[in-house]
Amino acid sequence: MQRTAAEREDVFVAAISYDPVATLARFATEFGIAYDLLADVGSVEMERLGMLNRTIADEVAAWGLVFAARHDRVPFPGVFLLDEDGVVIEKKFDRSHRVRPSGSVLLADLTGEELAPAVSGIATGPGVGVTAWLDEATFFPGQRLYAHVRIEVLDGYHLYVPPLAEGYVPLRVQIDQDPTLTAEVTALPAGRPFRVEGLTEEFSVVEGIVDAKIPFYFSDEAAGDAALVIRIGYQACTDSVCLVPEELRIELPIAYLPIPRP
Amino acid sequence: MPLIPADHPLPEVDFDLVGPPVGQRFPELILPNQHGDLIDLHESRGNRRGLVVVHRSADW
Repeated sequence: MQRTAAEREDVFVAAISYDPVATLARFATEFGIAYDLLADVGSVEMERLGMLNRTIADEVAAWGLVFAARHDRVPFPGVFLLDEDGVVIEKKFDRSHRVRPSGSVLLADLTGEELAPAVSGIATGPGVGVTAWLDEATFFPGQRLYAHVRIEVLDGYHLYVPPLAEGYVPLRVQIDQDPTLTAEVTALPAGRPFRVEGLTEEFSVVEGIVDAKIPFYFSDEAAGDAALVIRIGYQACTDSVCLVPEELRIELPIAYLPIPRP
Repeated sequence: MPLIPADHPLPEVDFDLVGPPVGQRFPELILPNQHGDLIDLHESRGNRRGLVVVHRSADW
């Protein structure tokens, strides 16, 4: 959890683990954490609340590790979002302790406030203008962040989206991956049905503004500043003519933060 | 080390069933914080919205 959420007085933040008070005190001092770190020694309360990971032995084996005392009675890593009455309005769990949400993103999810772009870039091509931005200008390994891409399709043009017959070029938005960077598949909005006079195929097309949000994270091997390369492949068409397929490229720098994960 | 094991899929988990369900008040919880003070989660929260993070040890 980044400090951004905890620095707001209108939001309560607490983190629960099985650590004793002394361990939490050391950790809070070392990393300047002001919000409450709660000591649930023996995971008694986490068990009562049904949060313990009962499959941990299988997971440890999946990692090729030997089960140790520290694995015993760990919870699933997650976050509960509470409203003003303390009612759970959303809960988010990760399958691995190695990937975790960004504090800023959680705060935005809780409050409904939009995050200002921290880093942005633009590109233009035939029939489209594209803006891409990141919610955060920094990362630390395992932090799940989001790249946003907004494609503005010029009036009179449309872009194909899947499902699409072979031979046509669908809109594609992706982040270049490498051994330290994992990006999930970009979900694109569903298109509207579209037919071309004289052809039997039915197409799906998007027009106007098309937004995409791509989750990504860096692995433990990432040890320095990086750049996200976002590629947007597409073919812009009017009702009567298609332009040559294009690929636009936007590069967004992101700085490494060497903060260990709790 | 990768963040997700590539060769061995992790067991399936229905996270809807993990922890307090959406739509219900988070249960009462009183635990000591890093200063040794007992924190009553809802009393400390007051009428503010909240983020309750559950995680493994800080000393991993």
